[in-house]
Amino acid sequence: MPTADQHRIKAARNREFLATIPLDGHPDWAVVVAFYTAVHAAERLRAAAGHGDSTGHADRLAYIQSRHPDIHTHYHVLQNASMLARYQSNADFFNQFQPDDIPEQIIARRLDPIEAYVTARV
Amino acid sequence: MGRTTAAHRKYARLSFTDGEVVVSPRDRDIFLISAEKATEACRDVVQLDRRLERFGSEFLTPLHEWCVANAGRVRACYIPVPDSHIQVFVVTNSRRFDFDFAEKVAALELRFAAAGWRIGVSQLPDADDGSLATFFNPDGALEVYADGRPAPDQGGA
Repeated sequence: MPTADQHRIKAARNREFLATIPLDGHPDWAVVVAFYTAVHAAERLRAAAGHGDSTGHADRLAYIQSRHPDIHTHYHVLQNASMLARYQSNADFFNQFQPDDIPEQIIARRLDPIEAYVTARV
Repeated sequence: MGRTTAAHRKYARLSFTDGEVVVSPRDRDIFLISAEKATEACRDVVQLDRRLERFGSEFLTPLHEWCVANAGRVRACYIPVPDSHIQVFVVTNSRRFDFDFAEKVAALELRFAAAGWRIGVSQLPDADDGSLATFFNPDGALEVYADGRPAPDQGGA
């Protein structure tokens, strides 16, 4: 069972990687990495509270719904966008998301608030 | 991505009358299979004697009403036969991912969670038949809402 600090480190490494992804070339991967940064931020919260590990995406989402509703919308959007980025065709993804969406809607509007919320509590 | 051939797809088409779910005799069996699994997936609200009734009145009907209230953006809504949890797919009219609408979808998800229904709701922008099959197996999925157009591969039946 990873510790809260291990999740913090993992999230930080994902965040570093996110900053290196060219948004005009691989915005889909930027969305995926942003989501998994949020995943580890959420697991950091969970571990710090002594609530164990999530068993999967649905369990983690349910945990956020019940314990941290203040960040639920942010997390929900990241999870939805990441699902589309992972499983739809490139053509569909590039129809659904514009490059500007990633820094503005995904990172600044959704990931940043999750990180701030977690940092303030752990 | 687990695509299913069109010939084998079959949604359970639901209709809603006076706040109650109506299922055609033709679709009743697949509805019951899906509903049974869905209520099992939501252990918080399982009560053996009333769970199908509650699945309809506390979940399906409010979900349908939400789709109707957002009909300008929602083209269709499906619930695949659940395995470990209930996942709702809301198909929108727009080709773009609608970030503002995503907040409404998230609020719906949280509303159900507060009522004990642990579900996920995902937005699928303007998903065609092939895209839908990327995300779930249409066989036995509940069609909670459709904007009047024939469901994929149902040919308007």
